[in-house]
Amino acid sequence: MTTNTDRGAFRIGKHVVLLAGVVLMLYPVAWMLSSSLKPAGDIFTTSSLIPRSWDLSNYATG
Amino acid sequence: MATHISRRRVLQLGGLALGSGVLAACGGSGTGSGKAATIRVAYDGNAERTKQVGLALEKIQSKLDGVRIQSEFGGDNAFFTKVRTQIASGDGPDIFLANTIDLGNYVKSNAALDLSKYLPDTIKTGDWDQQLLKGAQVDGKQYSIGTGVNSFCLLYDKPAFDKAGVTKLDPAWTWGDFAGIAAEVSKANARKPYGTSDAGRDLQTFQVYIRGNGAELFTPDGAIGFTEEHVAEFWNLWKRLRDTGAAVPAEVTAAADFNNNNLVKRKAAMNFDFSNRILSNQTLAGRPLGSTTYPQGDRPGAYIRPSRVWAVYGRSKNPEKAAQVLDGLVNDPDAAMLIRTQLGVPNNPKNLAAVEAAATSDQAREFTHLKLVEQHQTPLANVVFPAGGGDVSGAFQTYADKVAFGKLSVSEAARALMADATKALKG
Amino acid sequence: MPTAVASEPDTQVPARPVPAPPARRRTADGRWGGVFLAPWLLGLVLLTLGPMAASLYFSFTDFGLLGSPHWVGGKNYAELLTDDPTYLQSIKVTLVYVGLSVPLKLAIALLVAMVLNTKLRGLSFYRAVFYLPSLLGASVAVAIMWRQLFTGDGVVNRFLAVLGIDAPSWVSNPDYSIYTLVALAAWQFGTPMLIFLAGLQQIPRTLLEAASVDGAGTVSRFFRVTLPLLTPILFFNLVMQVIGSFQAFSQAYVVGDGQGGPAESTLVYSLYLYKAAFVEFKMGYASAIAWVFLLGIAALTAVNFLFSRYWVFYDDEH
Repeated sequence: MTTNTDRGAFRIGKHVVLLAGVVLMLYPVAWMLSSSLKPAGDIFTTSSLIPRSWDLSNYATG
Repeated sequence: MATHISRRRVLQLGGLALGSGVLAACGGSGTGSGKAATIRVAYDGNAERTKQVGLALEKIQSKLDGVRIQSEFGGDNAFFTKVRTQIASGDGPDIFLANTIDLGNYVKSNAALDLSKYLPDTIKTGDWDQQLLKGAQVDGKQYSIGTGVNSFCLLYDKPAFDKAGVTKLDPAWTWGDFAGIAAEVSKANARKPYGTSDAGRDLQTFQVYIRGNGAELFTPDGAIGFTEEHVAEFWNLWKRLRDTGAAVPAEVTAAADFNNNNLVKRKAAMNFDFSNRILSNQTLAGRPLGSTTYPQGDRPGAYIRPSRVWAVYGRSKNPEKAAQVLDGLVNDPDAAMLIRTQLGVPNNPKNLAAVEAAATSDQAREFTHLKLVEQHQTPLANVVFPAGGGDVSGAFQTYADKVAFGKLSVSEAARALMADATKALKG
Repeated sequence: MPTAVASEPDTQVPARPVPAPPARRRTADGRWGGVFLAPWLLGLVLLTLGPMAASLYFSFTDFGLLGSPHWVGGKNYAELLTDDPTYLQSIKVTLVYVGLSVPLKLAIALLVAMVLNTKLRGLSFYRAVFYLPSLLGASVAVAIMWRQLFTGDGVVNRFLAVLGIDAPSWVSNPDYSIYTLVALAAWQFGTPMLIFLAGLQQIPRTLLEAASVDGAGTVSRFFRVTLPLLTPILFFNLVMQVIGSFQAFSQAYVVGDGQGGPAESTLVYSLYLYKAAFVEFKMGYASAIAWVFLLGIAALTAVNFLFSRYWVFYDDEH
């Protein structure tokens, strides 16, 4: 590709858009991971990604 | 040269291995004296129920001679597919758990054995209420034995009802009363919760509705027993309830399921359910729930029914021993105390008394509710659906949903349902 | 093992082809070839061709898995095409799903591939992240999670509420549930993106530089140089995505709650096939559905190939 479009602002803009894309791509996966660490009741009631209380029992009891 | 010898050697060794394998197999299983007969029992359920049934089977095995029980269990949908596939390949389990909706299919293709000759000596039903046996019969023949008993139970949100000033429900209430109460409760609570969940898509609620006016779902010879008018009347009732805000809207119904129902989710103040689910509903609800009968028409539409049924495979190699195991499942006191009411309230009167005595207060509600229904029921002669009846249930739900979402008018949907239902029963 | 080989001294005349080994050696080689081929051949016959033949047979019977099959001729096929509105609904749902998700997926894949094709720092990171969702594939776990995200009070709606948008309950509303599936498909654009990226990297720099020297702007360069050279890749992706999305099953099963969504709005073709076979146990009927499926997709792919000569440009032509 040509190089004259890779000026600073354009390049930063590109990264911003790409990072937004990354968030969109990974959010569902992160949500899945966070749900696996939450106790069952919390999954549908709290919307934050960080579990309020960490619960590893889902991994222990298959 | 070397290759030739080693190839022959390999073939010789292979032949020897095969031969000895065949001999070993011949000597092993079979009906030789001193060898126990293997009885395969297949059942489904949640983790708790399958565990308890497994323990009950171990107990039964320890009390029987010459019987080795092999448990096969799984979750719901996959389980039925597996059992049917095994039956199709001629290798069905000796005893399997069916229900009154699909038993007709098994009977039609000779996959369920007529157990009449094992009653009352091998399967000791002498001291049972004989009406309980009828619920598991097809064409008057005992093609299965009920696991236990349940019936229709309407659960309601006591605090929401109190707010509307409705403190007591008459067990002989009519559908008109029900509609009125649903509207009042919905208004008093500003639709949080709505008066009732939507039972317009449930074939069994429809059954209670039409039985209240003397009609039946199916005729004794397996054809449709209801008319398009019945369907339209029922769906119009629910459409009115939804449109006036007494019942939850279609989207909310679509977001709920059998276990996570709208009563538990606090979206509705009434739910049409079954007596054996009082405990689980109460546990999940987090507020006091009341229970009563379904509304009636000129007469009650409810009936006492087998919660599930045990059937013996039509081509079982050990029907006599299978019948003995079945007897243990429905009569053995230790097995009854292990399974409790997870397969319905016990048929055997002694077990019934023992389990009831040992029940917690919430579990005991199941028993009291059944006694209530016994006073407000119209017994049903043919509980088991005819072959193809299960498909009618699916079609009923689909068309009810289409009406609820405004995709079809009530009359169009009713007409389409009658066509689908007739086709389903013909096959 | 025969030791004599009839050969001709061909070292001095390189153009002369080496003659085939004599008959005896050829059969011996052939026999060993057959032995090694046998397991795969056995598998092909027993596990693929055999069941296909059985299913073709069943499609002309009324086999219900419990009874025995009775020949009914073309009744299943006739019923499918004339007397089954649910079947027609499933075709409609599938066509909508394919028609929306494939172009969307390919467009996003191409767009992202083009952005990634620049001299970008962190290219490997971005490429891996964008590819990750399609690695998760048609898994049930992902579908369950997706359904949870799109419920009436799920994360997506909460996010939209922040933006002031009052969104419908996606998975509980028959008018919108199909878009949930389309979004899930579009989210997994990673595979075609990687292929586009490879294709883009093969476009000679010199061509693009020449075009820009001649005065072509970015858009013009894309449509006149990049896209035509990408058409073989585009064609490949198109064929693969169309075939794949026609076969979508587990996503629709989970999002539609096992039934094909509220009021049959997510009843894709393979879901209807599954229902007929394993819920209603009408194996004969389901086999007919499966064979119509096969013929339909084959026909569509053939049409795809036929039309390709009009728009796909292979640069090894003329």
